[in-house]
Amino acid sequence: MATNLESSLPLETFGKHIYSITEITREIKNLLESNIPTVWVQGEISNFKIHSSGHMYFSLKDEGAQIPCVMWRWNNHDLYFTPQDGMKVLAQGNITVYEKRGYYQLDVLQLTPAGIGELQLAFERLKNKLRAEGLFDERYKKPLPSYPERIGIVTSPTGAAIRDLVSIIRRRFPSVQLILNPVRVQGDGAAQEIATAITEFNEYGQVELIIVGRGGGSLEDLWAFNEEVVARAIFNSKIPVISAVGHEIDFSISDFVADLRAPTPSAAAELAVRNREELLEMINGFCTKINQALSTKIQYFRERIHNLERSYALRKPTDLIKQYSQRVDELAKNLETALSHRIQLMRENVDSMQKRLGALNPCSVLKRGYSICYKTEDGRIVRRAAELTPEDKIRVRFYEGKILGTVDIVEA
Amino acid sequence: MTERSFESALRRLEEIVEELERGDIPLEESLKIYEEGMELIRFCNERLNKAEKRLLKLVKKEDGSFQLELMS
Repeated sequence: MATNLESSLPLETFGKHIYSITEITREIKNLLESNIPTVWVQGEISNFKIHSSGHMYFSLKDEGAQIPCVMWRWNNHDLYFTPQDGMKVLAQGNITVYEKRGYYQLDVLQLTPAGIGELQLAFERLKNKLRAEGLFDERYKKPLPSYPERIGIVTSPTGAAIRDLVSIIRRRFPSVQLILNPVRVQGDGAAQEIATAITEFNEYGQVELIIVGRGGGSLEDLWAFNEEVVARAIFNSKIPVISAVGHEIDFSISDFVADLRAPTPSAAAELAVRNREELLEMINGFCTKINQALSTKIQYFRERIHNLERSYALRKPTDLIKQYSQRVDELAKNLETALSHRIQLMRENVDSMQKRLGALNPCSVLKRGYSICYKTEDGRIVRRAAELTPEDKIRVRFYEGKILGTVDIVEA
Repeated sequence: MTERSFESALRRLEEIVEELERGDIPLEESLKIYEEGMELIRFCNERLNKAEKRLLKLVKKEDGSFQLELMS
């Protein structure tokens, strides 16, 4: 490594040779690129941009100076984190001269956060940024389906998370169909895979719930779930998302954006599906209730029928008979009464008549001294003397006894 | 999902319990919804007692369509 900055230009030519811009730039390029080896530098990222080409452009700076940087796609594709403005990083690279634009830059080969604190700061920065945009707002959070029939899972196909999820969901509600979209959950490109998997479930469309997560690990291990691309994929998901990342105490950006956070994948399983036992009990309860309700109803109708049977309207025929019988009895009684009354009256009449008759009884008249004269010839009662002629035979009845006589003289 | 969902079955069951317990429905109607209720109960129990399903994998094909495969 040559450290002398001896020019390749002989001094004596300075005055005489006129350089083109290309030529002088090439001199500068050679000077810098041959004399500065691959170096590690530390600085703060600013003006970070990713082009659609995948190349990253940013500056590294400190209080005194700054250097523009480029990190080509083939160098940056396996970064486990996305560089952010303000992040202090260590960068390894080569100083190169960008001839066309006339500046030197650091061609970055490797990039890491300058210490764990950097990641935490980056976490805070992104959290604040996304919160300010409203990605964490309650009003965007969707309710989870009560009885999902198909659940999409975004996690590693190996590891404890998928095992726990499957075993617990099967225990609670075995008929749920679980569909895994397998991803890497840390390191190279994991964040992009996770985001893509969530988007694919939305395209596929036939799950009612998505669970995204992984088991525990360090901040670097979990970092993918703190990346903006994952947060946006969760936010844009039309299907509700449960985020289940790491240990109980870890909070990831994905947890804030998701519709529900679970402290672990196991907890996510419990939150995602109801427990079959409870549901069986509830259904048994319904069964009992509807049986009870129906038999109550039938009982009620039975009673109504029974009451109707006993009621006046239906007993009418026998009752009618009874009624009529009673009526007849009554009438009979009335008749009897009426009759006897009549008889009584008649008796009285007879009595009075008898009395009157008594008064008119010839015998009582006779008792008073009158007598009845019969013409013997025809037995007729004689009323007038003119009915008789002398020599007629007459019979005269007295109160007591009678006489037979002959008419002497008639005085009419 | 062409067939009835578990959730809608449960909801209808709750309705039926309420209607039957209210008691202001004519007897013939009651018998009909009782039958419906028992059928739903059978359906729900069957769903709950179904055997567990195999884990499937979502695969996006080149043409953009999706396929489900068995997880090995």
